[in-house]
Amino acid sequence: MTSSQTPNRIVDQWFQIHGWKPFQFQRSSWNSYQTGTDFLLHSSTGSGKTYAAWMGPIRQFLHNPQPQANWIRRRGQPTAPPLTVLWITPLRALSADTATALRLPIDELQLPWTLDIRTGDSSSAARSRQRKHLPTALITTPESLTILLSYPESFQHFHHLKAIVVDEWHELMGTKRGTQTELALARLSRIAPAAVRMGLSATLANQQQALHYLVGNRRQAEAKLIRGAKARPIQIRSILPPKIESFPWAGHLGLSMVQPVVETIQQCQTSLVFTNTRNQAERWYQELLKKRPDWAGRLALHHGSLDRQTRSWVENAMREGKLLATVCTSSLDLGVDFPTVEQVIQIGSPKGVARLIQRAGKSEHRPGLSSRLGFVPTNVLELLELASARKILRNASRMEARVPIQNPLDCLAQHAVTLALANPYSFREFAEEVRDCASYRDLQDEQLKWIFQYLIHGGESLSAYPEFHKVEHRDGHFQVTNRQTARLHRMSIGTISSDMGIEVKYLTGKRVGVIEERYVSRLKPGERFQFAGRSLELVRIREGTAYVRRSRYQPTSVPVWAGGRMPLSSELSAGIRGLLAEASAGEFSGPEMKQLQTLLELQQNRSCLPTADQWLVETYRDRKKWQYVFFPFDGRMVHEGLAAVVAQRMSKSRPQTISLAVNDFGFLLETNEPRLLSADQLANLFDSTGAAEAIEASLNATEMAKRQFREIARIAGLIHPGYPGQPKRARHLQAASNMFFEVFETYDAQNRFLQQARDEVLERQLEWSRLLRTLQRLQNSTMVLRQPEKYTPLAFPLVVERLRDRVSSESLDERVRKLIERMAS
Amino acid sequence: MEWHPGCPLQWHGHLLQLLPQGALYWEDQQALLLSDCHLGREYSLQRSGLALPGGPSFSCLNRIEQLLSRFKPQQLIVLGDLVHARCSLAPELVTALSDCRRRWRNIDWWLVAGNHDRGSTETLAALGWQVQQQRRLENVLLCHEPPDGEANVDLPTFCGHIHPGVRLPRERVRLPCFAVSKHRLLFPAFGDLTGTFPLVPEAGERIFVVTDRQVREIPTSLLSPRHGRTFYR
Repeated sequence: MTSSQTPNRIVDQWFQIHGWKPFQFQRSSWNSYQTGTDFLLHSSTGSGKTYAAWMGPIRQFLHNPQPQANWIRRRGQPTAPPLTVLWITPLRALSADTATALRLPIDELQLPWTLDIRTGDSSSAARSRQRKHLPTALITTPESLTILLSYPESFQHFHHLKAIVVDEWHELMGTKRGTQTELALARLSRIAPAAVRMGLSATLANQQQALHYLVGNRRQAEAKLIRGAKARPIQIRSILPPKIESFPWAGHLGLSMVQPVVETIQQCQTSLVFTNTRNQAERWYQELLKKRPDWAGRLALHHGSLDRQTRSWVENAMREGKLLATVCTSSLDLGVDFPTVEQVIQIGSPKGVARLIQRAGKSEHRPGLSSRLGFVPTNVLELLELASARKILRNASRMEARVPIQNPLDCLAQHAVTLALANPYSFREFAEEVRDCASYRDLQDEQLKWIFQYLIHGGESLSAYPEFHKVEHRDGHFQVTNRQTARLHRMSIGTISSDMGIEVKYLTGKRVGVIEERYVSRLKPGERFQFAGRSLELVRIREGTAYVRRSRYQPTSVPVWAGGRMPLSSELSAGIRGLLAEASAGEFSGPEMKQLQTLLELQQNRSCLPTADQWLVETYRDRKKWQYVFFPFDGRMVHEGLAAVVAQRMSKSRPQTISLAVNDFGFLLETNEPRLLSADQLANLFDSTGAAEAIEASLNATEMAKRQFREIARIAGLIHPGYPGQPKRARHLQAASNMFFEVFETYDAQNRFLQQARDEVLERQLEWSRLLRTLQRLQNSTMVLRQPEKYTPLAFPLVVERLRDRVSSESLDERVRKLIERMAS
Repeated sequence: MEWHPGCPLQWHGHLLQLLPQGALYWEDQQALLLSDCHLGREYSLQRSGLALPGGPSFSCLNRIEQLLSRFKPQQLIVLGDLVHARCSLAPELVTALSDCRRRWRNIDWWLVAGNHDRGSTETLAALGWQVQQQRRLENVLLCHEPPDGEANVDLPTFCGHIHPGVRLPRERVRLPCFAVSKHRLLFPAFGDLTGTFPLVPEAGERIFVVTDRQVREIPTSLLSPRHGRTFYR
């Protein structure tokens, strides 16, 4: 580094050495940073977003690289500036890659900067090192950042901060972790008000809103949006079985397609095979190896439950081009870039256009080249989803939006404890700080008072919680003095998103990964299951760890992880309705629709293909039961809500039990009532007036509110989640979570977290506003009622779907009595 | 409230009544038996920083009193784990226990001590409970933990500790149950905050599930072994 050069020139030259030229959006970002303006940069993946954010602070440093009084000397290292850049990333898996990218200019420009990672995976040595001094640049996750903010030293640590980068902001926004990030940012802007916030995001429909939620209310007016590179063109082709007639009508695994996929993999040097669930990834890995045993060692498996070491081994091998193919899940969706990947194979519907684009973007990660994606349907109807996606891609402007969460009290309760651990604060200080977050701009004093009431006394009914004191109120300030509370709280911060897991280890102690406790608890010692692509035998479960050994025999099962399936986006759903309407007029355009022609004609013959102003209902007689199959074509979540409303209304007339099955195309209700409902009666079930009450009523009957409450209770600290490998001592706190909901309903019905659970189910899970729009659309179109002799191609997947939920107006005892009678007869 | 009579059971020459509340009434002995109340568990959880509202303990005591008024027994016998832990005995709960005792002072209160009662036996004795490690009633042995394997097979036993429950086909939650084998009668947990252990019936074991209003015997062929674990080898 010679002193005659200006910092800007040095950075430009560094780009030149690598054969790059700064893009316009990179320069805009650097300038924006220089003037202290917050910004959100939206651009497609692999386009240079990382350096758009990273080189700003580096240029600024080069202006004045002389050692300052506040530089820190760590043992065995030269002095370095204090924490200057904070890099927040949503996924732990991304941190190693980001670190490599960030380290490159530090090393090559010989900056005296230190760089470190702090995530849930960090070793305890790294953590205690970081308790003393943080590096010049720190890469971390929202959870780990929150934990850092819970220590009294946080003020000294973050005081010198100049830049905060939030990577993949679109992944965080609209989730509770996004809210957690907002709250942490609000805290940081009190500690280091001058730090510039830089958000990096994929292109979203609601960019202005995304910017607002990133920078908060006060700084919103000055912040700006920067537009980056456009997405590359995508080549999609579907990989089909030779005979469409023999292709299954239902199912999500798609294992009948192994042979064509093997052939596709052979055509390229390196492929990424995306599956939608971890279970599916494990099975595909096994099946591919069965077909081609000679690929052992060149075929890898990557998913979020595998141990980090295994994952990074796979990532490195990919980068070095040692692997022929990697079977993976969304664990490789984000940021991680592998220039060696030549093609992406997607197994099963990606359920949304944004995800399809993102996955396709993993191939040919070089500017100017187009992305190649091979789509493998797992059942014949998924071709419809692909045809719809293709249509949307053609009108490229249609992007998906991320809807932010408003006023989640559980995150606020958690944050209040986090800050109380660090330093005592007053009500006013806290209110002012959190109200700057866009999520809490409408927070009422009265809501906040309730939160503190809860934290201090457990709730409004003081007598109910005599032993509960999470936070204390002394001399007008909130603080935590109980060490057990502090320990449990820090432990629970990291669990906002993760379900309860059990660590899997070999007897030697080597870690394999994490599986859900629900699954493990069903296994008996000696049973074999497939995990990490191997057949493992369970030896014993001790203190939250499942000990296994490798087995030479075939596994008997593959673990299932919860939360596997995504709903179809509303854009894709609307596209499918359009395609079916075209098909009903005999129009089949595009390769997928041509493939589907025979099948859709069969649907037409057996029942009907709805036109644009029709919607279809089919009824079937199955032994003593009636099955009603409704086809609104509006995505799994909307159907789940509709099914709950309709079942609730049906069961009101007379005590009965109705079973539900739901998929992305429609839903099925099964009853053992003797009489079939008339078309008028059916239409009345879809009346949009009073739908809100019906769904409120059905919420208690189904599991959704309970599930949601479990999550809220965990974040708010009502219950202790437990974590993999925890000591036995903490286990007794875990009490079976399903009973909590009932205890609260019975003894503290006014608890606001209960109401929050209901609201979140309505708004976020059932997409209430989308559901209302669907009801109105159905009311304005003509219902076509058919009673086919045989199951139609559209109905079949719903019929074979294991019935998942029920709405019952019968008592438990009545149901048990009937069950016993059925056995006796 | 409508009163459901429960399910009669002939066992080792005694007529027993399995009650839908999860307790057992032995008429010849004038005894009401139940197990695993885990009173005050919510207070233990509150102390650890988990905000579970108080109430389940009082509702449990309430149900015991309802049963006492209905059957007017000579003795109440709890087969262990009456309170969850020593720190569960919050002042409110101690008051409620002693009020309850005062209202029913003319019957005998027996506690067969369970593992959870270890720290609280003195307090409970002071509240009028007669605490024992084991107890005999006719030819039946009363204890908290099930006797292991072959020992004591010749002596019929009432016991708790396990919190047995089974999941019926298409039901989401496990129902607590009585599990009755040749020599052992396993009680469901009586308390609210107790949870259930997924039980796989042994050969010959009969299962009586406790629904919201009745006790019903379930053919064991209804129970899929996938949903439970055997407690014994």
